Amino acid sequence: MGLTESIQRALLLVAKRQSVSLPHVIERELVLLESGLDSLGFAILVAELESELGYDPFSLMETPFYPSTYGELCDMYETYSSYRIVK
Amino acid sequence: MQGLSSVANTRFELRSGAHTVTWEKLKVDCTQQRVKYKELRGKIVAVQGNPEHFIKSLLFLDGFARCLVLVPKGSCSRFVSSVLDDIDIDAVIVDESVDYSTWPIPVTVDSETPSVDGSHEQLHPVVDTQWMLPTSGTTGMSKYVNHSLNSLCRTVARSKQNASQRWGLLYDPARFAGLQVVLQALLSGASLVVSEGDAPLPKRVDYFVRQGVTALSATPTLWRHLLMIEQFAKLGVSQITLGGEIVDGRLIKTLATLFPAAHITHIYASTEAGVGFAVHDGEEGFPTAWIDKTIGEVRLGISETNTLLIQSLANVQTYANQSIPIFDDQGWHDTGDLLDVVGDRVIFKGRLNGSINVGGNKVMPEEVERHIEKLHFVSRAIVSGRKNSIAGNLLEASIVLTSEERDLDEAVQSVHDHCSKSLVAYKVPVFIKVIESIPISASGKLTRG
Repeated sequence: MGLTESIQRALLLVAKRQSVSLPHVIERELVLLESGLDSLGFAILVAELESELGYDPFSLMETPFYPSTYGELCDMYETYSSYRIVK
Repeated sequence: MQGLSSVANTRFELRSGAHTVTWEKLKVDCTQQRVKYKELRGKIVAVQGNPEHFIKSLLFLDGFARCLVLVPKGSCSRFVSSVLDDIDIDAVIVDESVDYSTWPIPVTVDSETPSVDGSHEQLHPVVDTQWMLPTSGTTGMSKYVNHSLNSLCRTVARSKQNASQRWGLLYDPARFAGLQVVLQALLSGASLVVSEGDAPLPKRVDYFVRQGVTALSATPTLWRHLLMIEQFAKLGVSQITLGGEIVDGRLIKTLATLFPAAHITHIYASTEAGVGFAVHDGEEGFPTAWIDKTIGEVRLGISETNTLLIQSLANVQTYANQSIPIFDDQGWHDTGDLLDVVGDRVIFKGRLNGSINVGGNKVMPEEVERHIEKLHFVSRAIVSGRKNSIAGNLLEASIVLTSEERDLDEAVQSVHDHCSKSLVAYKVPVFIKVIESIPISASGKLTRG
């Protein structure tokens, strides 16, 4: 599965868990904190992605950057994709 | 010390919504409230509501009521009942934002400012009000600690630089951390900007930007959340305060990069000990050299079990039910926070009692375990914390099923649904796995995580 696809799938999974409805196709411009996810939801998303991809960019960055849009989140995972463990 | 209204700095102002309430106006309101609610003099009064109502109530009740009981706004009826079990409350003052059906006793709903003549109020003597603050509970039940205005104001910095700050209130003022921000602003003569606690965070940030907020205090989880909001970078923050959770050095770095001119402080404080100490050097933990030294008004030590000991040099708090002492005979309070000495730095590792901090909220794993074990197909459950770069920790539950045959995915889903239905979100395990048997250590003890 492609990286963006994995992120989108994890985001939809967490949204479902938090009873938040997201559009089926997620635009890059989607503002994460306006999507209905709260900080716990975002923490769960990062954990889900770590289980799925094998890395957490927030713990790899020397000075963590916190994305505000879905596009920025995808770019961040892309930047650190060399750490990905393909199952 | 006399009542709060008499020690507040006259430059203090309260900004709420589109209006600003000056100290002059607050003082008039305070006097009028004392006339309107004259029957509350010398009584035990509980206060609950939005920050503006809450702060105005504190101002008129301190030095007036015998005891002031601070009740967090979103408290459930179970919490309220446990407060009433512990404390003999005479009256409850709330505002219209509170669901007062949670109170099984009559409450007074405080509406608009009264217009009564308060000119004779000052003739009455000032009462030495006792403050009762809830600790960050782990079971949903209340545990209150007694304070005085003196003990609460001890660490509030009142320098000229603090007077020019405009504090944005992100915490509930009924909790120790929120009350510290309110007192900081009140006593130093700064402005305090409050928004409704239930407004979504991006809206609150937007409001803070428009109000020109310069100082904020939040938990590390909340700071990470703030950093995700685009508008946040527009805040001209010159004071950044972190507390309530273990502070990691990388978060401090991110904040220092975004706000290079800001003064960054992380505070170690416990409601039990009254106050703690502040670290200003931009590194996580605190200097090893501070052990066995006096820092501000506390002395620090390390116990035999590697937990942080605090000796309060000024006064001694007690719990509301009086049965458990907070300080031992020598005046030491064991905070239960595990320490690790790494060279010249002391780092916080977690809690000795095993409680897990999920985004600033303490969870006792046993409570969640007992809850899961109510399910007939679960024979045992073990709950532990899994490290998380956003929330500090997330909960992980390992369950052992009874011999009854069951689809594993279905069992996991049922545990999740069972927890989501009756536990607050941060107590719901994020990871649930089925295991064969419970891990037991060589010494025969249960191994969590």
